[in-house]
Amino acid sequence: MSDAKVIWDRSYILRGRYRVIAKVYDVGSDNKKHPEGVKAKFVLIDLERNVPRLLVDNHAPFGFHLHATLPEDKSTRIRLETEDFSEAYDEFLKEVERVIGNED
Amino acid sequence: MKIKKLKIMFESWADFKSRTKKELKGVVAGKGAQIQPENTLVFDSLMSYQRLMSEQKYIILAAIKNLKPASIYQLAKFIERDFANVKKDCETLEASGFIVLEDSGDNRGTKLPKLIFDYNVIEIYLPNMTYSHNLGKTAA
Repeated sequence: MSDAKVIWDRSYILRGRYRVIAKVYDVGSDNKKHPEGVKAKFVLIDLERNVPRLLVDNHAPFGFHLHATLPEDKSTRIRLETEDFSEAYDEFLKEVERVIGNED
Repeated sequence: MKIKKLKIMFESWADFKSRTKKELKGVVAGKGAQIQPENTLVFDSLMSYQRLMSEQKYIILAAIKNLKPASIYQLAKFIERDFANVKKDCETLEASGFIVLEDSGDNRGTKLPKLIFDYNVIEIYLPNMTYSHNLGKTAA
């Protein structure tokens, strides 16, 4: 992904405990892992433990998927039934709220 | 000395969600890139910012700024704190976007703490007021 160019980059700190980092990359039209030419990476980081808690990304052969059992289990993916970036982002934000809610 | 500010801004979670959803639609539709400036960190509330930051973390930032430690170990020596606690604080500051821990290039995996950019003031923008923390030489 050496030619990837960041086209969207947002960061947000929640409750002084978590950081949301949302990035979208233009990876070019000839990228085999991202045939649509755009890669998304939405991450929730636990700042106290300094580990990722959630990750939504998209790449072949899975399409959009959620890693919800981080940091212990990196290999489990939950496939998101969408190809739409906004819907995938919505799902990520809902998962963020679930994690935050579990902290209460 | 020129003032270089790290800006701390606040936005509610609801507003952040709403704004970023709209932005994302536009970016994917090809309406141009939108990159968050490196001099800006956004929090959900002042309480959130205060929960993250402590006097000890401000001292770490001031020491990095003014004393330019070559490692976290040296930083801990400079500020006379336990290495493990300083390392944990540095990792939190890095994950939050205040500093970076660069590989120094030696074979021991030494990390070189640096500010995310060369700022000397942290300016906090509240809805009705602004205040700042100066990282001047007397702060470390």
